[in-house]
Amino acid sequence: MSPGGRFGGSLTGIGLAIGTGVTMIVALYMMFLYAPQDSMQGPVQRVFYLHLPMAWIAYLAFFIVFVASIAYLVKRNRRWDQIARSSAEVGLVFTTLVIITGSLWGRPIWGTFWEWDARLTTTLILWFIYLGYFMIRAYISDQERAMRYAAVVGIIGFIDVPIIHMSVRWWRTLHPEPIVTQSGGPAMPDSMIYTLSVSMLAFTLFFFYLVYQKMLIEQAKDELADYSLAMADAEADARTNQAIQQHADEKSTKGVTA
Amino acid sequence: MDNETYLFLAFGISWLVFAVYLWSINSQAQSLTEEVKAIKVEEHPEDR
Repeated sequence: MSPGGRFGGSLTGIGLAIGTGVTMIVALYMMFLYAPQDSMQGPVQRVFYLHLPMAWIAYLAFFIVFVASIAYLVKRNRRWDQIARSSAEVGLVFTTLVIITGSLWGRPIWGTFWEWDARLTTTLILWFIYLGYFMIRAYISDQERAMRYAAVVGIIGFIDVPIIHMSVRWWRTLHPEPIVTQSGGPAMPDSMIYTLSVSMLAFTLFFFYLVYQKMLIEQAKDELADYSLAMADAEADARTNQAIQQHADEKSTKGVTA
Repeated sequence: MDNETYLFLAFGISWLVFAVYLWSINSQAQSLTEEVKAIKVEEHPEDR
């Protein structure tokens, strides 16, 4: 009857934690000691090894929200909603960091922290869309309705992701064009590509570790909410039965007296 | 500020945000575990 709490000790959780730790240490070593310094941008170019994997994770997170939201609307299974909200929360953290690290790179390179440029603006819009996603959940008291509305926002919000990706091609922007996925191969030395690949792997594992932990929390929260509801129902039933019994007793006492 | 300071700021802020987020996930898990434990004790006081 009671809900279960299954945090921490699972094999998946431990595996993801170890994998993240090891690859992250290797990635940090490569970012600072293996990858060569960019002759044009100087040391701040190394922000790229943090900024680009975080942007990839933001896309991945909102793609998962998109798929899980569709699955929730089709199947109405709460598990899909748990996946969507866990991925959205981690995605929001990564999108925040994409904006912060991008601004910190932009200051010495562009001479400004922020420019209302297509790539930056569409990324900020994505951030607001997912902030709205959580506001819907927080302000609608009917849980089923909140899940439905959030799923719709999760699906429509994803439209912004391909727009962000294509923004540097569709509009004239300050933001550099893709240098890894460009036609003719990546425009950087192999050591930079290896560093970027390891960093991508480390952040991907970290993302799945965070989503996994968050999902266990969301699952337990739902189970606790169901349990509280069942307890409240049982209490209400008991009170009703007690009142009926009392009424019947009073009636029979009156009958005996008469 | 020089070029290098922005690099360390970017890394510092990122790791600080991750540390705070990990701490918040951990404390949520801990408080839920305690809540579940309390319910179990309430249901089966003999296991206390």
